[in-house]
Amino acid sequence: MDYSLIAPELILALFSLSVLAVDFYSPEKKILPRLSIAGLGISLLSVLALFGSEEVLFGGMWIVDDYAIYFKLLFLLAGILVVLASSDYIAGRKNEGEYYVLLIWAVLGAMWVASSGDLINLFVSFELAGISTYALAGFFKDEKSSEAAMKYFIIGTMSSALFLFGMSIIYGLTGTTNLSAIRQSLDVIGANPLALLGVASLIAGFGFEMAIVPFHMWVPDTYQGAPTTVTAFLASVVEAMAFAAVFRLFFGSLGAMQMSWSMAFVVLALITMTLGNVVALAQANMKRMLAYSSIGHAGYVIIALAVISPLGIAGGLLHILGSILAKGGAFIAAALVVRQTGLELIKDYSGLRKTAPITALCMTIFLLSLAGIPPLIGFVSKFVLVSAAIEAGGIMIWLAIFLIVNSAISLYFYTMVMKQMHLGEPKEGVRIHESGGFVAAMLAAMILTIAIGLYPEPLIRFLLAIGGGLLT
Amino acid sequence: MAFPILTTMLAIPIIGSLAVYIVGRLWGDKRARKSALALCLLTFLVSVWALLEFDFSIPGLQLMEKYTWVKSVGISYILAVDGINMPLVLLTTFISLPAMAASWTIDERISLHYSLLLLIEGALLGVFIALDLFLFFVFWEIVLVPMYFLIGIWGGPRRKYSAIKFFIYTHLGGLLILLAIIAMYFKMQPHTFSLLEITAVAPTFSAGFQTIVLLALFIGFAIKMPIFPFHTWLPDAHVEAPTAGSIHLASLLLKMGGYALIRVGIAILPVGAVNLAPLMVVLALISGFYAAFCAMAQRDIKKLIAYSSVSHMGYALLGIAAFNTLGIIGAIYQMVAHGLITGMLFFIAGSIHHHVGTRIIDDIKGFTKMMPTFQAFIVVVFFGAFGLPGLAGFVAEFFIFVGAFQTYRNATILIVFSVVVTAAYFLWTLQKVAFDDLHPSLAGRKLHDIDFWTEAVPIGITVLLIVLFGIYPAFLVDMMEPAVLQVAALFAGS
Repeated sequence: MDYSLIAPELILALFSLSVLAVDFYSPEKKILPRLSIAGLGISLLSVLALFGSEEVLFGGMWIVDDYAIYFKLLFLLAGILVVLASSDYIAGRKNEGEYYVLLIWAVLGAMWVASSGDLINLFVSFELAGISTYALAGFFKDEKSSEAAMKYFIIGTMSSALFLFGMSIIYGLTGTTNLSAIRQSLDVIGANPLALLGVASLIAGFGFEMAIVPFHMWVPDTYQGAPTTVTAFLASVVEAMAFAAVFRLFFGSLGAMQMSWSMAFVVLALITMTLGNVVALAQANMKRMLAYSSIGHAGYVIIALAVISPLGIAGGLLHILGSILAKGGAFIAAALVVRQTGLELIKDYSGLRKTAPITALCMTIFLLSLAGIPPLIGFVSKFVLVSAAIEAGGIMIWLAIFLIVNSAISLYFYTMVMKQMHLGEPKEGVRIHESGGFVAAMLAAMILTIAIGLYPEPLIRFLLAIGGGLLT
Repeated sequence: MAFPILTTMLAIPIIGSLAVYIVGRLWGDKRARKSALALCLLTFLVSVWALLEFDFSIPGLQLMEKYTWVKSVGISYILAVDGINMPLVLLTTFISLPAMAASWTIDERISLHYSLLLLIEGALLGVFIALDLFLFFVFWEIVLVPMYFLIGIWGGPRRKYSAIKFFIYTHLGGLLILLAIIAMYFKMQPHTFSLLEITAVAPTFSAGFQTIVLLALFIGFAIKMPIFPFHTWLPDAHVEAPTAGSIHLASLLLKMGGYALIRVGIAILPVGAVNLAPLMVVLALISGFYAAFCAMAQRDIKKLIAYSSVSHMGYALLGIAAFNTLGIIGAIYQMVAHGLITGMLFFIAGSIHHHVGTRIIDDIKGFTKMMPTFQAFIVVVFFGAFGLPGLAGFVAEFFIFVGAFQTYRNATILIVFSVVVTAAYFLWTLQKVAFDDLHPSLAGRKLHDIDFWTEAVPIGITVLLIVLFGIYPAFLVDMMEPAVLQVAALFAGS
């Protein structure tokens, strides 16, 4: 068997144990983030080495294809950014070592999700990532953090239960848990009420993870209460992981019933986009505002599930990347401000251009990308999504219209932040030290946001191919 | 391959914007300011070079630069000039110079200010010369961001409100335009954003499709022009913006809408245009009158000028809606003339505020008695603003009215009366400002006349151009005619 195909995950597992060991033996904690980044980096390189593979391992349970590779790269990239920021954010805290181990295990779980070819595999990997992030959300052990973790844990467990329920129905119908076998089986069986129940259950279960309405209730509280770098991780990796699972599952296996779930996702997309953006207007807390805007962005991504076409999938995948960079980056910038000043409200960002110029610049780019202003990646992905929706025609045109209206709405609350940062005056005595880890993470994310926005061609072609592959 | 003049013209302000900011950080604000001015001048010279290479007799696109950008989606990088956008390109590169001069008195965050001015200029040029719809849209949206900061940071007391209103309102319009662009993209077989191909094929699309798409485009452009009832962002934005921002807004950003309506509107969707003509004419009429009356009621001179912009762009819309050569030439001429004249009006308003300290007309009565050079310029510019023959504004309005009369007799007869209203409020204001008795509050003060290099020279040169284009229209008309003939030919049957 070709072990290089699972090398990325093996490397991460190895490094996570190393970090645990080093943490146990060494009083000097600075090496831990460096070790983590090394592990994530080497894993990234090994993923790049797998480019172009189309393999199925372990009797169909493990898939390595361009889709999996794309998501693995995303998770690793996001992981590196979050670890870079965390190195300053949680320096000196109790149990620092466990933080990094949990983070690595969460990334590992996410990567595993992307490669899952089987329902059971999907469930186990989801749980791996989930449990690691539950613990991370409660890392600070203060009131807020614990509440965030509890909410996340309970909702997460409930969603796992729903997922299992849906899984079992599908298994009952088709007699197999293997994704491609399910597909063949369902193509023969066709749509029937039991299958629809299963699909509905799956949508509900995954809906919690994807943070779409009406399963979004935990998002604002958890995002606000968790340590901000963990929030960055949640907003980037965990969201993307949910989509990785859903895209593979729905496009790959449940294609036979696409008439039903496509319409369901149309409605969900419309509600999610609108609620996320409209409620974000009213927020005064930065993390909460970004949380609601996250919900809005999740709504944009599920347009891909409504409009079943390669262009739509490409748009969705690109938007996930854009979100990882911009949302993750925005939360990392917020983490810097929280760490240095302890303040979380939007009006506390007043005058940031003077007190933390690099942060203000990066945050501006991230917010503009989230709003969809060219020439940034956020604009390109929204453009592709709108195009896909219009191409599909019929009722899907409403998706395009809603996306556009919501983009305009979102511009308001993003501009509010920019207004504070650039037009406001800093409070007396506010000092912000922009430490290396944060700056590195933000600059990397910002450069990628701009670069991919300016030259998205190769990536779009790659994603269109993935989209086409998923649908056949 | 020929030297890429247009890309150079575009690259200088855009890259220069970043360079100026860096120069300012490293070597101080004064150097940043001077380098910005130098770059602006350089851009103008490159545009003059493009003019020299421009052949007045060819109707088609010239100096074209065409590369594929995102092949899988059908996006290309196409820049070109013809009679429709060349005058606007020259207007942009020229008027940016007085705009920079108007900002010479700014004293905080200077390098950022000039950096943003250059960026706006670059993005504007991009809008005018881009011939791929995606590229066009990208530049259209890029214009908004530096303008927002320009208003929000250096503006008047209500700047934060005005800046956001401007940003969101025009962004929403932009998104409508995006929808229309994408609709056309998918209608094209094979899918492409290239205006070259769309212009050839789109007139054959079904009437229903054309009408809906043009409606979306029209609303988006009408927000920008602006046309009643989408004009409400303009008085706030213009009044609160710093002088350079107001000049850019009035002279150039508004023309984006007018230009786009021709290039990306009627020139590619003629059937839709004919269907929407009644709507366009009615809105043009209302804009012309309503804004003129609003202007008459204003006490703040800057707000008065802002409303006069809405009114004048209403004329331009009527010219475009005439769908004939004279009308469209008139509309573009109006854009150039109005760009120059209103640019100067805002420059003057800024100078008044700077020298006298207030912009309320009743409080500055007769102040020009102490500033004779200024008075001379004010008189000429105000006369030009209401279309005195001999100055550029008259030529524009004349062409528009003659052209529109051929297509809409009654509407044109009506709108000519709004010129009377325009003359009324401008003359009234002029009389108060220049010829009335000195206001008591100014009695003891000594006002210096305008500064030579930063005020007299820019206004003077522009006034010369206003006079020149008033007595020698052939230069611009010859430039525009071949290309406009092509557009008008689309409507020959109707």
